[in-house]
Amino acid sequence: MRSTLNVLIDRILPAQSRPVIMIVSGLLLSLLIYFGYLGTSWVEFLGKWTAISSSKILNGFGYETHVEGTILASGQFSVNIAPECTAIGPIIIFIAAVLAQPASAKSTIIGLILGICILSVINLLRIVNLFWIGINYPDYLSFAHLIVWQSVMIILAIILWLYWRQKASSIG
Amino acid sequence: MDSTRLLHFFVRSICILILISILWLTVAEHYNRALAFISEPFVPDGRSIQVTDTHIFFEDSTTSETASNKLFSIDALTLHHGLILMCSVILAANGIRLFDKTKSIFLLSLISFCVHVTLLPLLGNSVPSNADAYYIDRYDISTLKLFAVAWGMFPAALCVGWCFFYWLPRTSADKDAQ
Repeated sequence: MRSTLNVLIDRILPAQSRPVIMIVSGLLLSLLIYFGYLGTSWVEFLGKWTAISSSKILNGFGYETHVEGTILASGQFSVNIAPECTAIGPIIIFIAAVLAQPASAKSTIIGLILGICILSVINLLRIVNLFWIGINYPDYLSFAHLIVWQSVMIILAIILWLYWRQKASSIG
Repeated sequence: MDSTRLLHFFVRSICILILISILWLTVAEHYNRALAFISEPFVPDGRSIQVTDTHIFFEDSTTSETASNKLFSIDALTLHHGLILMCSVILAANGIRLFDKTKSIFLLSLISFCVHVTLLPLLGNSVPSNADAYYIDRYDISTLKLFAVAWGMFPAALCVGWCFFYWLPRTSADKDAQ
């Protein structure tokens, strides 16, 4: 059964072109998944989770923040955690890139779990930092939010993928 | 690619990103004007695309006789982020000649520009005449989702694709040669 499946896969996807097809289809699929995700109740759930987690970190630093739905607010400043403010975009790209790469199931699962955790934690630090910028340097908020941090998250996802790729190939 | 090279890539890309972002602010409005100029013929009659600093507005003059009605506003930095991201990743990549990097930047920037030029008329056509720039509830949700994918995810996917198809094969070839 297993060998029949392998033969079938070899016929459909020749070994040489398999990585190319995998990465292209993976990336296209990630765009579709993100498009579909934007209309689901997960947007609200992840937005709330991000707002609550960021609020806890900010409160740890002495800011008195509270959360109402996806709005993170203090007496001085408030932000709405939009779908793009969650870590889901970089995470989907990271998952697509990792799954497109041939590696053992164990290293793929470990890579995915660690990558998702790291990107989620860094995204919380991003929100905390943006909140701080919003309070202290509001004129620079859209610059930091829309250009710098947005790009940093994607660069981090790429670096995590490349790091995982290097580790997975050295193990495999 | 080893961990040291990855660390160098990370530090370089962040430094280049911040540098390009600051420099970009000086040309952002010109880029928006170019986008508006090319996109304007494709938006419906009575609507226009206006640029103020980093913001792009869609205005409608058919519903009001005295003043134009602002239908939709976007902070164009959302669109620009992909361009800046791609330039930063390409310039920070090690083991590629400057000429090849320039070619990659030109090609990916051209793709990005085409996406931006397509998005603006798409938004201009989908926004209803009774829309208000401050209430997004009245907009066509599918177009907004497509817009979010195009500005947020498409550049990221292009970057990963570029790394996979262009950069990594060259770094592997360098390693083999050594």
